[in-house]
Amino acid sequence: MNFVRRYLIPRLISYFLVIFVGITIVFIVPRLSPIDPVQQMINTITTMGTYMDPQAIEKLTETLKDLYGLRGSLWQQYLNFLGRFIKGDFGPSFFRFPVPVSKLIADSLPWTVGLLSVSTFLSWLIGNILGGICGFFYQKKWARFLENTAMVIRPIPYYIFALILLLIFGYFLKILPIAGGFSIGTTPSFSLRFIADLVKYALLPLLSMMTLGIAVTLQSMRLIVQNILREDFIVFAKAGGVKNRTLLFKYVIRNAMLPQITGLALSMGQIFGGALITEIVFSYPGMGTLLYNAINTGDYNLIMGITAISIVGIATFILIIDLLYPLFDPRIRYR
Amino acid sequence: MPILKSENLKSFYILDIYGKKHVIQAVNGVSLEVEESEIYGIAGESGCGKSTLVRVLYGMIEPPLSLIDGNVFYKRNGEFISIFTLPEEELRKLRWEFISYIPQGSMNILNPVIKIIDSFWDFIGAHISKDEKEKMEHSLFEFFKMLGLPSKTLYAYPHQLSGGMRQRVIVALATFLNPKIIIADEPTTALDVVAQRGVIQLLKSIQSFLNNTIILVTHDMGVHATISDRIGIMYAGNIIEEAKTEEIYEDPLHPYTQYLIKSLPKIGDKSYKVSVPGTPPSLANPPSGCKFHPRCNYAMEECKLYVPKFVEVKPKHKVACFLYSKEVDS
Ligand SMILES: Nc1ncnc2c1ncn2[C@@H]1O[C@H](COP(=O)(O)OP(=O)(O)OP(=O)(O)O)[C@@H](O)[C@H]1O
Ligand code: SF4
Ligand SMILES: [Mg+2]
Repeated sequence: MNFVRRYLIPRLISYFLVIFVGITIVFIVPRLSPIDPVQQMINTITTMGTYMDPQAIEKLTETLKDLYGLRGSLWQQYLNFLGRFIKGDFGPSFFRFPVPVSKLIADSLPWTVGLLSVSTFLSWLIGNILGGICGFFYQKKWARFLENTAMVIRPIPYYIFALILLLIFGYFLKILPIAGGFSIGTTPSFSLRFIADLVKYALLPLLSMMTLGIAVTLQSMRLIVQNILREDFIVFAKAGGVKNRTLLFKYVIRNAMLPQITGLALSMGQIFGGALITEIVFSYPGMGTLLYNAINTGDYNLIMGITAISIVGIATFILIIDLLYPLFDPRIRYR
Repeated sequence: MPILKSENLKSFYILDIYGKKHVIQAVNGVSLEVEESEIYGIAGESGCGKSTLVRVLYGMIEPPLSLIDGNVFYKRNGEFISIFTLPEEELRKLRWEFISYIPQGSMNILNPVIKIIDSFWDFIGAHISKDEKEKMEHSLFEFFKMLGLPSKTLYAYPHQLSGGMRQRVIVALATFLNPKIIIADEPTTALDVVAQRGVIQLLKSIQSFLNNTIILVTHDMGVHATISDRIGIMYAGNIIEEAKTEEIYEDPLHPYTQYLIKSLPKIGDKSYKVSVPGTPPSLANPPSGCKFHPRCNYAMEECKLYVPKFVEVKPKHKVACFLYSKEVDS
């Protein structure tokens, strides 16, 4: 009961507060910009040479204002915006008019979330275990080797990996597909065949992102472990002859994981923005590509939709991790 | 009959700071003999090398600490064995069964994310077989009862216990396998007076019950007065005086010891405590000759040049000071 009152409720409140504030900012920022999207649209149309009489322009302006949610006082616009946000309605997209933004997002989101949640989580897990082992056996040669490898990999931009992997597996060995999310001609379904197909297409993007992800996590984990090793409870456990395996997993890694869990929440939340470059290199139909197109075409509704989804995503992941955290750290569970 | 002894033990921290080598002579030629079933106290001001000494006595020498010279012997089955020649695994087995060690800084000495009982089995389980473990589960609760510790503390997490309770649990953990020797480094320092007494009484009752040998490190001379049988006074990496507790308090010989004893508050005494004048010596660059000479009121010419030898000047009372013996340490 105490837990609900002192832990759960404050977190739920802050969750909704963060989303509310974030959404409000999404509403405000475009309105601060000197660019008037309606005027811009009309300019685009007229500069393309289409003649429009003033009446038609008047009419078009009204329609556009409607679509952009720009009608009425600022306050009315805001209330409207909030109401539509709750329903998941961000208006129509412009670069794919009149497809609703929510439909575009719904099409891209599963690809991105599927790809990125797997790669983020796996690289977090593997990176932490490797980093833990590296930090624990810091005196061993192979640990030093692993660490140096991570150090070399880290500054390389991940699209370089993407290109290298693409060249090796796609062009030379020709064992993995070079582009797309699934084979052309197959229809998405829950059959084993289709899933195998998905995995095959996801493998290269996964590998290219995970290599870097693992290297980054490995390095930060190794640093944390190095500090943990100096803690009194490790010295005591060593003095007590606790077995190395127990020491490594139950004493070192379990404690070093705690700060890393927060990091996981943050990077899991970020996946809603997509992984632009990977998606472009592999022509993966995800959120990154969508956002890229939205920005390129000045598609306000779409940008706002994607931003809003990202805010909800990050906040939700942080909430989930916050709620799970007590399972890992008894100091928070019992206060 | 000694159960643990060291001979000319030297152990230094070797640090590499921006490519420059720093050597901290934390233990610098300690020879001592700890008798079976006694409580041997080690005292001295902060930074004089007490913790380092007991760590070396326990055989825990990890970089940057390294063994320079000397030896440590444990007596097992009537024979002295040198611990530095033992294989790693042998040494690990000796721990907790033959000798256990409670390091300094005991507030965070237990894994914060597991229950006390899990810590117990991680420690104890590493030294016994699975069958034995099953039998011991019952005796663990008995043991806690005997020590007057509530058995529900076993199911608590470390942060749920008070400092005093945690420290008593740790003492229980270190003594459960009935080791011959227990090394306790400042077990009471972080505690308030009441909790201190609880821990001291626990140590004492375990010792009188199980007859173990205890090496107790604390800079608190009051604690030594209540529990230690014999005391070694440490200064700048060396033991500079050693005698029975009463002897040390009644007839301290070394000028440094005299300051330590004088600094003890006495009941009804309202005067300020006398502290040792001057600053503690740097162990990276210790003074020549007798390391105490820059702070000593009796310092003579020879004190700056030669190191006084640690010799027995009264029965069972050793001191290293030219006021009592002109013997020079080579
Ligand atoms: N890990 C380390 N690396 C480098 N120097 C160290 C290390 N630990 C201790 N020292 C140095 O070695 C010397 C002896 O330290 P030690 O901890 O043994 O003293 P101590 O007598 O136990 O002091 P205290 O009463 O404060 O616990 C000090 O000068 C200290 O700065
Ligand atoms: S040897 Fe000299 S300097 Fe050292 S304690 Fe004795 S009198 Fe003082
Ligand atoms: Mg110490």
